Amino acid sequence: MAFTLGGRARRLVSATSIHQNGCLHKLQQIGSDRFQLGEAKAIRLLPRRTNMVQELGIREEFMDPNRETETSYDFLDEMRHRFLKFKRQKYLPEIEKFQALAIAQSPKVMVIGCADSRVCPSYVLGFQPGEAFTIRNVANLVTPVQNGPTETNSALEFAVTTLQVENIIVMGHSNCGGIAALMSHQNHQGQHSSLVERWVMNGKAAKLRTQLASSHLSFDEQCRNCEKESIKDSVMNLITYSWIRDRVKRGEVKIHGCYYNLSDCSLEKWRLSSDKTNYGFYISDREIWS
Amino acid sequence: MGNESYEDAIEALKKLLIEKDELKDVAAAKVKKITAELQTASSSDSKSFDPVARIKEGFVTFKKEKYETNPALYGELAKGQSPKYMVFACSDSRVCPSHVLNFHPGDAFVVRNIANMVPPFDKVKYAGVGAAIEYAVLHLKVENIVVIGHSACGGIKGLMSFPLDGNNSTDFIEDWVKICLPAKSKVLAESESSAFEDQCGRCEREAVNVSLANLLTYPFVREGVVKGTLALKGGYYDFVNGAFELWELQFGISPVHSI
Repeated sequence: MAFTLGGRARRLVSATSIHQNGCLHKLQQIGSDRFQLGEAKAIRLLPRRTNMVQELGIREEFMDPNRETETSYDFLDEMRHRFLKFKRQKYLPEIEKFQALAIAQSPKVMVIGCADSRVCPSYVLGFQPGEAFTIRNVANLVTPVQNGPTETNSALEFAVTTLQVENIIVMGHSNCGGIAALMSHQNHQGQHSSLVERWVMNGKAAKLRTQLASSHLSFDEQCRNCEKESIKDSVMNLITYSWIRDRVKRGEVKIHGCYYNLSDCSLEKWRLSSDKTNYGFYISDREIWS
Repeated sequence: MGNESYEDAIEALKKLLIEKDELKDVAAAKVKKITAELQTASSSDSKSFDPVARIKEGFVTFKKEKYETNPALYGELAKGQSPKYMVFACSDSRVCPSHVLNFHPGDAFVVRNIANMVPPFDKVKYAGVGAAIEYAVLHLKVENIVVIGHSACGGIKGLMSFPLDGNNSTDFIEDWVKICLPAKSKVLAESESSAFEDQCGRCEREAVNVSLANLLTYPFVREGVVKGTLALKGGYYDFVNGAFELWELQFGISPVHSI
């Protein structure tokens, strides 16, 4: 195919090839102003690629300005990841049990544990959903009935009178920050006491006994002893509630104390038994598992 | 012998329902509840349930499968804790955050009480909650406080059912659930004609919001939120449908406009 380029076009044509219909044709000059399309090579024209990453910057910088938003995305992602793991590994494989639990719970055990992140009673004692009604507060303290309402005794009342649990476990642990605060508190009555100090002073009887018996020991060792004494006090304070005391005497509720040492992963446990002869209580069935 | 008393009981129920047809719905709900309770209790049969054996088994499994397989983590934890989260969860046996949100030792400082409530700041009343928040915010320096409500909450059901007019039928429960009375008022005002169960569902979520607002009455929480070092989040675990909802209490200062 030949064509003629007229006038100015003649002077402008300098390319050796033209693009026509998706093909690149070589131009052959066959006269001063006559050209012929020569061999054609099919080409595919691709759109010009941009490197989006280079243009926008790396993702973190792009997302950055609002720190609050970034934290929210991370938090949402993390919680989603955690919940879906539970759903995949526990909930869906045991869906019938969870559906039954959705209608009613009937746990046989109530646990009073510390809020410390290292000592979740379900994790350490292996309770599955539906098994244990759990209260967690600072230093797993139970205050006696005469001290008035606390969040702990309202939960106790619900568990014992409504859910009718058969066992109550008070679980303490080593390296407890609350007990350390109790042992280092200087006993001043002023307004300077922090909320933590005011709360842990509920364990002051345990602190006095510990100091009397072991003031020659190091602070850490004294704390270990105080942690154990405090569990005993909390257990005895349970008995001050009439609806617990009556049930223990009738054998409907059993009370246990338990001390988890997280340095060597050992568990010491004992039971509070009721003495029918003189209406008192004593500690029995002490065991250490390690 | 057991069978006879069961047959008698069923016969008596049938007879009652023939006489009083209107009781059928109530009876159905109660039978459903009993069946569910027996179903979950059957794996740990009351005659043979030994709590000591149960916790021994649980502890030994924990030690073998978790503690001994991760000495680095547990060695660090023995020296101290530095959790990023503080969690308020209900004492309900079905909603332990270690299961539902897969928390491992060291992840979250967890307070559990009836209906996961946070009372307003008070140096004397319910001081245990204040102590926990103070410890988490000032000593452990957690970055987030998450309050997690849940479906079929007995505490919220109590809040919605008790008249709360001062004549208490319980020693402590009514005083405690009264903390979230604003949630009850809001739900009743917005959906007076809804079914009781729907109202409870709404109240479970609204109560989380009341708790989040109460958190701001603690001076150290307020300071952390204003400085941006502490965030307050709300959550809701619906175990009837296997779902989880999450939201945030947002605090911010808008751009300044010259007017």
